[in-house]
Amino acid sequence: MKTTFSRAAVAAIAATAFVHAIVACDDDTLLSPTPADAGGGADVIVTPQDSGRTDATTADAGPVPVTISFKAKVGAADFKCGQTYPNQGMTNDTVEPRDLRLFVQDVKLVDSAGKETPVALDVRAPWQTADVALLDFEDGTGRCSNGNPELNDKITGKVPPGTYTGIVFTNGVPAAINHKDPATETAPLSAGGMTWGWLYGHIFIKAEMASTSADGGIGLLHLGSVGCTNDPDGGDDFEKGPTAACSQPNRNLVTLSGFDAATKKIVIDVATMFKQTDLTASSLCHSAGTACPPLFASVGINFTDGARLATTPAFRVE
Amino acid sequence: MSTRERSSVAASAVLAAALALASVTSSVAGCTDDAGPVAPAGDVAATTDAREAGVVRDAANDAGDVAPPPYAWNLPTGFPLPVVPPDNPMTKEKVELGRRIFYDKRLSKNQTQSCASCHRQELAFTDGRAQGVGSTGAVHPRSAMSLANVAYTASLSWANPLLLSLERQAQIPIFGEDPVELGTTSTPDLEARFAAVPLYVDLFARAFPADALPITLANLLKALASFERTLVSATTPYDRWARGDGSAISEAAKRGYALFHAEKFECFHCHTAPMFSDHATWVGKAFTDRPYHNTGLYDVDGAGAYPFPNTGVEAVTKIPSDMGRFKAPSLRNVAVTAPYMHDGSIATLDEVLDHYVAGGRTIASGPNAGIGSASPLKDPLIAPLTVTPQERADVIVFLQSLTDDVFLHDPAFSDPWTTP
Repeated sequence: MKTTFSRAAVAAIAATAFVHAIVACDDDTLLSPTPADAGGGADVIVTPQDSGRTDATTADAGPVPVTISFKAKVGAADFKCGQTYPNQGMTNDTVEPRDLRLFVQDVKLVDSAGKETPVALDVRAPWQTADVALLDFEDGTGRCSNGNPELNDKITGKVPPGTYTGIVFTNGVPAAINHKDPATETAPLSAGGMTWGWLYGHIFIKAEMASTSADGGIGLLHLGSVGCTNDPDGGDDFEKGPTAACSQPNRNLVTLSGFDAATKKIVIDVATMFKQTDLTASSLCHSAGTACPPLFASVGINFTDGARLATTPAFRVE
Repeated sequence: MSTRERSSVAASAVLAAALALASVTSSVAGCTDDAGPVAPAGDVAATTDAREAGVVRDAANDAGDVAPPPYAWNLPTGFPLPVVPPDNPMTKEKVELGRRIFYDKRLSKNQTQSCASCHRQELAFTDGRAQGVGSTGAVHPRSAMSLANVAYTASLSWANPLLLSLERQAQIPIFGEDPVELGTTSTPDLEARFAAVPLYVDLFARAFPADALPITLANLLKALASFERTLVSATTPYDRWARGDGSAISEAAKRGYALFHAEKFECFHCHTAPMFSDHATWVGKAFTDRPYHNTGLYDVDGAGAYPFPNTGVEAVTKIPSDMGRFKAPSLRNVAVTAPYMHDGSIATLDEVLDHYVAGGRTIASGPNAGIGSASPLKDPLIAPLTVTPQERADVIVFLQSLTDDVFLHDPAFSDPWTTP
């Protein structure tokens, strides 16, 4: 992991260990505080959170761990940086990945009666906080050189025991945290490839495929909230982000049936995503521009008005 | 308690809380494997001592002074004070560090560009290009803005009402991807490039003495912003004239000044003194407006559209009536910041006057063809003018009196790596 040893990182690691300690006692990899770092905590009263869960090792009724697995594909083939894929896009071009990362929020499992049960996300640095998870399918190789070696193809959390047959989730970062200063946020919201400085938020879905031919074509989807503005009376309050709601939040709702977390994976199919995109041209969708409509539709958003669509063709269960 | 002390204690408390949670949980869960650093019985007392020691250290750094001395701005009498974010008070240590960073190519992923690559002091911190060119050769859709008096601008960039602080604005050129400017993609990599330089270890420690690990992106941005806030242009010939030196500018410039402020030319409404921008604020200013204006530079569809992606405020807010609305930039040093407009599409000051005299630009052919003066979204103050060649010449002479030679050559703003 490339995360620097900052205070924030220490806190995140400690928080991770906190969760592990509740679940199992065999993984005591807590970092030792250095003398320089230890201090200032004397007035903090620590109350064990979720005291009802601390005896999870003996009770059966508590939440159980769940791992939701994802897989990135290009049609039938596995998505991998450095690989080439023929017959892509509306012109059947040969293309190579440049990026594929997605934020996920509001994950719920659905039972056969249609009842939705939220998944309590594990705090798992650098990929997850209690509010949001980052999926990362680029490994920094080939034309994915703007990325990093780390990969994450799963979301982990806890749900009450039950029989679940479906899943719903949203690609997004919750509005309450989307617009905070990335320079002071911890992973996965910290500044870098998934932040959107000029729009004061994060990129919810980042998918990029580049043509291998001399045309230099590229297809790009950067999905995120747009139409954000500031309180005109913001004055000199530098703490404020956008104070009015974004007119197009662009948060989709992916609803998939036939999903059993133990045996199935959620496929993100980049071939479907770019199926109606001209990959021999510069088809850039920064949540604005003529390249956007089919890309937005593939992940379940009407580009014109930002409305959620009932279908999300780029996602399926396998 | 100073701001620095407050943030130090708060940050330490967060860390200690996280660590305490971890160790307390271990015991609650009843783990017998005590290989981890479960807090010893005396831990509470120990952390209290550590915090107090930290406060004492901070006090020592402040030479026993609880409130650090106010920053010495060294501005001409009567020139307003810039607004500074409360969480980033000015210090000369931060300014010194920020100046180093501004001129440091370590900011870019391929280490070929710094802020100064597109913001050159001798050009009032512009680059002389119509459109900026980033570290990988990507061409920016817009022109590099002057940084003269950037501390006074009420929002940053050409047309972005979200961007209120330099600390956040600077993240765009560092991390932006379309266009790639400095091209950095990883915060840890960026921090590591600076942490590897002994000089920076020293400068960051002195600029952020309360931080145990001061080389962070957030601190880098604070230092950079602090340096940028010192880039004040307040010593033009016009300023000297305005302060009472009757011979500081020519008679032609004085006539131009009068025309600039007359309702005939209407320049002053948007380019309001003393910043020569209506998009300005400072300490004690009664009202902070953030106006943006459509000047009829384009009308590609007869409905006022500007060519994508330079649609002005609309690109951010998606509000149709924001189409083509841009900030009126300061005219200080305007004679050295050609070419002009958000996209560098006008080469000379004389042609800029053509645009305004016509009440909007007409583009006869090509993808951007259109009659800007007929745009329904145009600011009503932009209307055709009848002016004499002499009047035009006088206005341009006045604009040239806004060139600040002291600012353009002030060693305090120069590259510290070559001219310390």
